[in-house]
Amino acid sequence: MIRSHARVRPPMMRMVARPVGLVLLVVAGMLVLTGLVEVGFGLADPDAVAVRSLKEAGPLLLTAPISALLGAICLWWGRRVPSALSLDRREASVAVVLIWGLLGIVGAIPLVIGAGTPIPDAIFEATSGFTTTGATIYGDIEGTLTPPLVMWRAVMHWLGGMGIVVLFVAIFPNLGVSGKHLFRSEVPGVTAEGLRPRITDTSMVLWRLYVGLTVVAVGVLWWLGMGLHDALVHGFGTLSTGGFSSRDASIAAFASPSIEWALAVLMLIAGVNFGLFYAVARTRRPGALWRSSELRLYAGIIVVCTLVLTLSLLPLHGGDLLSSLRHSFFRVATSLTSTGFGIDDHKQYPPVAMGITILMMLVGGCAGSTAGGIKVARILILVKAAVAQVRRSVRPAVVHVVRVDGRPVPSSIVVEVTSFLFIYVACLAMFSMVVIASDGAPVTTAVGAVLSCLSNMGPAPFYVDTDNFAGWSSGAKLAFSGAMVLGRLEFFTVLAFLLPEVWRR
Amino acid sequence: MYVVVVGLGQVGLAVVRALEQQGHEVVAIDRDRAALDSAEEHHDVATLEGYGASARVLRQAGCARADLIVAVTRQDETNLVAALTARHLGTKRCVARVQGADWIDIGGEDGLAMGLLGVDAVFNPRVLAAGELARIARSSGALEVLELAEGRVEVVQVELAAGARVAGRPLMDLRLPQGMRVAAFVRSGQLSVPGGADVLRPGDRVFLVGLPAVLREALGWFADTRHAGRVAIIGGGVVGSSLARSLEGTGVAVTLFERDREVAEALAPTLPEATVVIGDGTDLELLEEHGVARADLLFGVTQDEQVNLMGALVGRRVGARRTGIIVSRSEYESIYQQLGIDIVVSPRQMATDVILRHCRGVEVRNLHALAGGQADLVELTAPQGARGVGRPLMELDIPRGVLICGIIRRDGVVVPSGRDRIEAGDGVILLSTAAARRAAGRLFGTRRL
Repeated sequence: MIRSHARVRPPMMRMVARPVGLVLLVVAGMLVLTGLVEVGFGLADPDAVAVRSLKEAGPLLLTAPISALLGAICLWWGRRVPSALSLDRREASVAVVLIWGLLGIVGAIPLVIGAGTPIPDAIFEATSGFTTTGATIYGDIEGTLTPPLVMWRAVMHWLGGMGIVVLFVAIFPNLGVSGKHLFRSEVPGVTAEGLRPRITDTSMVLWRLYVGLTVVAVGVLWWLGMGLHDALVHGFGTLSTGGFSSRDASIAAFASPSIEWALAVLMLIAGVNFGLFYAVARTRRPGALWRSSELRLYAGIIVVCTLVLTLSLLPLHGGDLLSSLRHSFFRVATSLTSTGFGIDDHKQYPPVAMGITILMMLVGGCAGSTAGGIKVARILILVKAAVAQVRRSVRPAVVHVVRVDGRPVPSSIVVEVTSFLFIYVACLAMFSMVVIASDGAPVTTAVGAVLSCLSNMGPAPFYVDTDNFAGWSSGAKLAFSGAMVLGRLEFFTVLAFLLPEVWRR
Repeated sequence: MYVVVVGLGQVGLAVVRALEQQGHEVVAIDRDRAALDSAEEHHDVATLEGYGASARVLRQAGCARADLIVAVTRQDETNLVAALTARHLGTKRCVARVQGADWIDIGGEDGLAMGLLGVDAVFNPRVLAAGELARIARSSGALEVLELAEGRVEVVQVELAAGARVAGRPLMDLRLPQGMRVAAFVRSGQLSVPGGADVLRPGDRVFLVGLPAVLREALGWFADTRHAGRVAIIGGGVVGSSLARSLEGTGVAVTLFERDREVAEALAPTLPEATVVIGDGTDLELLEEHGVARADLLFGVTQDEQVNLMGALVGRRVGARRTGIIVSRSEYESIYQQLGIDIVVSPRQMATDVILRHCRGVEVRNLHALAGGQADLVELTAPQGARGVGRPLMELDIPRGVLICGIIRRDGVVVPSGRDRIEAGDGVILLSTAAARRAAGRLFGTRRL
């Protein structure tokens, strides 16, 4: 009963082995599930031969035992760690970074087996999937990828969207405070937690909302005339704000204005703080939505950007206002939420439209959503803090308080947000320099590509030739993968991984 | 359950820890940001900064749908107001702690009042602790005495004496009297529930459970049972004064040491039989001078844990036969025992016990933690249709670490053997180690025990 006197805390890698192993088991389960669903699709298709559908689902069903075995090894490695011992913050962030690194590798295996993709390319693609970036190295998706692989890319989006660690926290009971630290390492920043007192319940609420909205999205797309397979792929890609499509031409391939309108609305919904949906669902008062100043700003950005884009794209659509409005609204939705579906070619945009598109990529969606970017909540705090700072310069004696939703923002949060912005810009510069040096790419192309990865956007502006990442060297692809994980985990967790004191005992 | 905890002091934290382990949803309120941050960092709970008795803060904490509010701030009045406000907002059960000297009399000697001012339970842990120490002083040779089933069953902790007649023989050969049994023993800090083949050794701390009369008879088999004739108490605060008061008129000679002259002088008139000494209870000469050498029991009960420890060690050196202290952290019980302290009572642990009683299933009537939380003693009502009901105990496949200590019926108490059976509606006294808690709960259909 003498607490922790004689006991020595197990080493870091043993402490983190259990959560890492369990997440790998979850991935194995999802691989099997996706594989079986795909076999079902194959059997239901009257043209397909049963043998072929099994063969095509093979890479998924083959990867599952590999993932399970890796998971089992991790569990075995951490078997001596008493289950009552909870992870501290350091261990949780190391676990989350390891999980995201391994996800990129395990997720790549089906692509390597099934499509013969080179390993760095497959890792890029899988990382792009889990981080919901949606940047691809496949120029010819319909020709290269079998339906199961297309579905696997969408499932990676979907798991990564709300966060596989959040899912893990939701479904495994008794994680206690470990769960909280894991949750915070994957979902850092503002307001996503605190929906319920216990983190397990919070994660459960988030995943239930996410699953519910996904079901709605898939239903709507199916109803609007997409095939069920395509509806699933795009439903997963929308709610996670991912952007992998089953078609080379992305959404344009469906040539359906109603699908484009519906997808744009669904993407914008995925970019709203899920905590707000919960508040509305619990109090049954939709007014909660409007009371959030973040949401008001988000809506304002959408309206203003859509109007400006519509006007600037008008000549491109030959003066057809409705067509220009539809394309602009879709562009705003896909850029602001960092999804990356496309219905037109942004390389033809006039400079004003291009500039707005890039600005929207930087801003991103609301905090606590699945969208990427800096997040509207942070922009709000940055703007208010900047205004307060300007006022302070002329009126030093007045106490200036930064308020959001009527509540004062602690200065620690202001510092955190400004550091975030700095880190964002610094990473943008550093990664751009790396890929410029390695590939000799033009500065605008490199910056555009890195920005696209850090924001988990997908398609990159300022592309020279094709709109995908196939042309980069292997080293650059791995650098981009790193940038995507950095952006998805919002920097701090990943950068902490590099601190020596995290590893010191 | 959804529980709001107001005040993150030691008791607040202990309650939060226990509730978290049992999987309840907890919101903690405190005014101290640092306390909240620390709780947030180490426990899976939500926190809220603010004044715990404010209706706005309580509403924000979700008191309207809370099942329980536990008010344990440093200020007694804040606790009562917080509990009442929460009740008004719709919280189902309200528990408040008081600990000041002005709240000594609530609920009489046992320090627990049900329904006072409309709060479900108001308790004073220091008075609870004093009551416990008084029971130990009145019993002979016990280190801990717990009452269950309105005093019809007792649990007594003793330290096995060197020459005890039960030492060194397997339990099944002991021929203990009907109506009692060895429920558990603690050896080198580790609690176990014994089987028939286990052998007790001198120095073991043994938990005996049974009918009070039978236990008193059999105590001599286990421990030195000389009656405590002289008791020395260091500290004249809430615990010391309540303890001295409840030993008045029992024939025990009490000497109470209090450093503060004013307190001592105010106390002396209320204790006609006791001797109140003004002076430092850790002063060796003072203790010698006032006959602590002949004391059967010496209790260190000031608010300062270190003074209590020092006083007890000095008392032991002077010659007190057994020593006891109150401490704030019951986790360190085994350390204190290594230092030579016989009895360790933690008001905090008692407070936590009282609170947790309200968090368990409705069937739970009573609850005590044993050996610093290594095992629980629970008194519950056997529900209809539970797995453990209606069949002889030997057919029940009772998990390791669980012991049915008593079955309470209107017409009497049974310390059961394998042939006895529990009927629906019976009271059951159940001991379970922390590891077996879940399994024990399943026996009686309550999800959480």
